[in-house]
Amino acid sequence: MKSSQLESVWGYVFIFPWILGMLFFTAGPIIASVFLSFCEWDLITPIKWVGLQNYIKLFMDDPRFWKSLYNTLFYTAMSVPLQLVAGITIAVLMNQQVRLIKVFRTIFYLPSVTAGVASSIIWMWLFNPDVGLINYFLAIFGIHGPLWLASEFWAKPVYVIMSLWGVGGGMLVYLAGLQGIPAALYEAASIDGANSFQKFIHVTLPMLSPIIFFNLVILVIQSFQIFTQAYVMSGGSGAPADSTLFYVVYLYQMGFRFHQMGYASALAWILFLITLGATLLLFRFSGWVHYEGNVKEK
Amino acid sequence: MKKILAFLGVGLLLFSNFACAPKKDAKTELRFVFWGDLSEIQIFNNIVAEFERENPKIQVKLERAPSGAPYIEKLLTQFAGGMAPDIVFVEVNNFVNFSQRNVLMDLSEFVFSDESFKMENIYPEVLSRFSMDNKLFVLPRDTAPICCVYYNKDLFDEAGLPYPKDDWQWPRDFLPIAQKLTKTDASGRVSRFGFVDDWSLWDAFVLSNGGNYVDDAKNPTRITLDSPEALGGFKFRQDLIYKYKVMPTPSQMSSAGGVGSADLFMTGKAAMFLSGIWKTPYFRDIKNFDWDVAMFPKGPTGIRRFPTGGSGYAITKTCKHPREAWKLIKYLCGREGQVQLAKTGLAQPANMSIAKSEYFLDGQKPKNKGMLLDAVKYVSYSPYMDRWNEFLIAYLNPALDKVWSGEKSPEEALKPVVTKANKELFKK
Repeated sequence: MKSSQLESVWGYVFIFPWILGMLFFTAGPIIASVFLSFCEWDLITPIKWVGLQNYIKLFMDDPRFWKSLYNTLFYTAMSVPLQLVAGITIAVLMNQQVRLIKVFRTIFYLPSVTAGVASSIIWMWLFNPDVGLINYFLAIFGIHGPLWLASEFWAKPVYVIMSLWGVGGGMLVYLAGLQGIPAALYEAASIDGANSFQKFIHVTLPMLSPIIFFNLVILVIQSFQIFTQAYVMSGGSGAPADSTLFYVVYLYQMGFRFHQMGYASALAWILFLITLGATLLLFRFSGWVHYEGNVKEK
Repeated sequence: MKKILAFLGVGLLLFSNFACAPKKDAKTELRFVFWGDLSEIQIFNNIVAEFERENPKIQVKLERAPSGAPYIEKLLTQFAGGMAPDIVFVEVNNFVNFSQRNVLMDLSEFVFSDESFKMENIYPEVLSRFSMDNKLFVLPRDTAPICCVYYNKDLFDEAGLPYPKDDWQWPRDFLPIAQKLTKTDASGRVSRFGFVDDWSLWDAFVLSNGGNYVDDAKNPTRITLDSPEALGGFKFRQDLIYKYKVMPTPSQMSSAGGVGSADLFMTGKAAMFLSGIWKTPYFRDIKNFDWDVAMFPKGPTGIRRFPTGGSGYAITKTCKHPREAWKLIKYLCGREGQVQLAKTGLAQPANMSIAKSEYFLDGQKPKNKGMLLDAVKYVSYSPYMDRWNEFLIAYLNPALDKVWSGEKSPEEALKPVVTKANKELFKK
């Protein structure tokens, strides 16, 4: 056996547990959900075939579907750019040669490994209108803080602000990318007389662009699936007045609270198609991404 | 390559072998799923331990599940996966979700053939709730009329007000009292509210104003929360908040520092508090003022009605040992179980003879607890409608958020959603 073959065999061995899990626990339900999306099923009474009815109702006669889609798009549009910028900024800062840099890196990464439920509860306290630290801080500057989660207007921005808490994961990937940029490029730029801002724009960003693109795709997919925080912080209700009813929260309500598994499956497939569409769109407009050593046809 | 595959194959075989190891246990095992706070777990543990001692052949596996909405989510998933427990703890509202899926065993046969069980001791209202087509599915444990207006006696004395009598009315007596007990500080901020409810208990106002959830609770065909009587009830609660300012707005509640309305009562920041009797164990810790309960007031036309909780035990249809399961639930609802429950003050036993006994009416606070015996007559249950929960979450609550925030009148907010729900939710 050639060494390259051996390597691929070991590759399969290592992903074997995942493949097993995928086949036993995920593939079956995925296939079943296609079928269920054309049915009516409350988990216990027999499954009833209803054809396209779920999909028709979803688009023609379900204001909460549109509301949840709007809430999710709002969240995605606000949080993804913020997370990208924050992630790159922190990564650049964490790439400096200063003392205790490893400690700082750990501190910034830590939030992304804390459990979603626990951090959601901490954020609920921070955003508490009366005793929360955030309004306390605003009050120092004479600003009367809003009601945050109790306010129809401010509830969604709370989740956008919270999303910054998790930029540590992205930061780590950017950091790896930053360290992979050859020092020679910066030296060449210096010789050409570039200042550090110009170096950032003309060297760092293009060299980092594949990683930015990767993070962008992942972030968009993740934002479409926002659930844990919203479930914990509104008790799964989407209150106040459905302003935090995100798509997956609605899907969960339909499936597990109202026991309409067929309708929930239809919702899930529509979300899959939306996410797929958004991802393809991002790839379609990825001309700005610079692939080193890869001559791209323009 | 072959070696690796052979290795994995052997591994799999070994694994499946372990999984099939036979169980050697002559005892009958019953799986019992329930919810409850710490004091309730203690009660369950004690009674079940006692039961196991008397019945050495039966072993009970107690499993605690989260309360509220996740309870039914978890259990129905277990039913769907063929992992249903033998006995489930059921509550008057989620009973509908179980019974409409036909997963509970008809207990009538046991009830009639077992002479040691005295059905006439149990409140008929509760039995009727847990029955369908003359079949009984749940053995009732407790009943919980949500009609306990807890009031701070010290604040009544301070304001020179007589304590409320059980036959008071909301416009004539309750409102002026609530207004007199509300206090505003120099900056115009309300420092003490006359009245708060445990959660948005609009039901109590809607029902006592002559409104109803649906046209026929046992066989609903239409939601009637848009009737003038129902809207009047919603309006009164809205007025308590915005017109009379005796109740906190939702934003005042959320700026109260994340505390619940029960905490407002306990700290003297609310003079009256509406809930069920289950708050009693917590309120017995109040040291700095005296308190009691009064029955929720009658409506303007003298109608007296309120929503209710309550719970009991059911055997699932898939239970393989129904005889043993019946033995257990009979024991839980029997004298021992009911006395233990009564002593905690947490709940009103469904067994009338225990509820009327010194175990429940033990002279401890609240002194006027005896009114609950009478209150059972006035309870209303939520409709027998599987999609009622969906109505509340997907239709009513988002609309009511606008009512309680003062943006819309009940009529503006509710008419459209009730109309839409009537069109959607009764489709066959």
